[in-house]
Amino acid sequence: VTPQISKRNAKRTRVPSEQQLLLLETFLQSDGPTHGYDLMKATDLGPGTLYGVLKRYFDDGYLKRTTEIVQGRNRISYELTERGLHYAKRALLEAEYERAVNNEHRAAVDIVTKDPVEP
Amino acid sequence: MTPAPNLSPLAAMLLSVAHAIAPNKDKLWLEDMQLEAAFVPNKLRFAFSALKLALSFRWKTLKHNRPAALAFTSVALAALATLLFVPRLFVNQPTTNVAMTAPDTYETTSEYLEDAAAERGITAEAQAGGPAAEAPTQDAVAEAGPEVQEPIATVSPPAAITPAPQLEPRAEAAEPTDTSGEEASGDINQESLALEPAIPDEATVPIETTVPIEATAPSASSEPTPDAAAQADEAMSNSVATIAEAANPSNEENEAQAKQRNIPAPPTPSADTVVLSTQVRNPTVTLEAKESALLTIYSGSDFAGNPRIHRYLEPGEVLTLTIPFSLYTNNAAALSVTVDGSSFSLAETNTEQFRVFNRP
Repeated sequence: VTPQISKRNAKRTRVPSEQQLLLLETFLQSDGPTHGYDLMKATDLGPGTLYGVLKRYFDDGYLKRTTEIVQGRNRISYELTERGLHYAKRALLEAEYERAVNNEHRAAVDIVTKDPVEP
Repeated sequence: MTPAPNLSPLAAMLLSVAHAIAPNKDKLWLEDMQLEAAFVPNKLRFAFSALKLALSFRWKTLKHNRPAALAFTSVALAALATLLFVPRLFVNQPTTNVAMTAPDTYETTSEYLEDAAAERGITAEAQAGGPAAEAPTQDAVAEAGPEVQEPIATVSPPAAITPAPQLEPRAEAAEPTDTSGEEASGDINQESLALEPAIPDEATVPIETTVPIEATAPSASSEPTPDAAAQADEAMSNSVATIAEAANPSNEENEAQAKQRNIPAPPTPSADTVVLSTQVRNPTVTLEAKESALLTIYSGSDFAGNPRIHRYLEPGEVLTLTIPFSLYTNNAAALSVTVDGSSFSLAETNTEQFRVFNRP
């Protein structure tokens, strides 16, 4: 039986945007849990956008929330789960591949345009 | 979930509203944002973003329920607009007054008089020195003495200034008692004109209006005497009274002023008076004085209330009036009326006339 992919799931399986890739890259580069404000500073995302993406990744099981006490106050930090780690690596690799292919294609187009081969 | 203690009231309120708006399954993220807001420098922007995020969460839940989505969106937008604009009402912003200025208008008559005098090169010395002096000052009258018999100041207000009725100041001054001329009467002309009240008049005066101002100067050969000084004092006090009354004229005061200036009281038609009527389609009527004539204009067609204009028109003076209005003149032959494009004289002979101009 072919699984029916709903419109909502189809949206979620789309290629992550540059901002999402940046967020995933930040998660991969961080040593441990990261706070929301640190993520905002690292990715230059707005609060609404950042927490929207975080919610989506949390719903998909890519993130886990951890409550810490910082300066006497509760603060939530976020960390990639195992599934999220795989997803982030795969997404970054795919993005890198896409970039390479596109760059290669552009380079090939440039070569053809600049030095057209005589038939 | 209580907001962080170091939040501003507005940010805390926005976060609370966002938390209330968000669906239950997404409230967790709004709580996260409330906690994180304590560590964010720009807390207000953060709170607004939280509100926007909560609205987007709520919108997704209402995606397939169009009437509810519409209602919710309307309420949410109204709330957002209120939150955005209401705080600005409490911010003291400097108010900017945009003055309606026109290049040919003056705020006060005195400004115009000064400007007009400067244009014509009239100074106090010139007024006192020559027979062409038009608006003698106190000093000028006092110094001129015998040369100035009846100086007449001709004032031409601009189009934007409506001439006040029955306020042509006439100050009859006696011989000056002081050589410095401080108590002479000539200078009250401009002052009294400057204090003339701006009577709201439907009629506008498109061209120059000549307002005669007379002041009687002392004779040449007479020396200052106690009687003359008393007369000068009386004239001065009358002039000062004229200025005071002009600032706040009433009907009775206007009548008193008119008597002082030898202008009869505004007439009203008696029971046996014949009142002519002219039906006008065009709302504006133009009156042109061919000779000097006393003109009294009332608003409306019943000669009631205070007259809008009550003074002598000078030859060549043109008034543009808006119907309906009532007119009295002591010299009907002197007035030429232009109505609906046709001009005619009010009468063939020099007679008094009451006439009403109104719509057909």
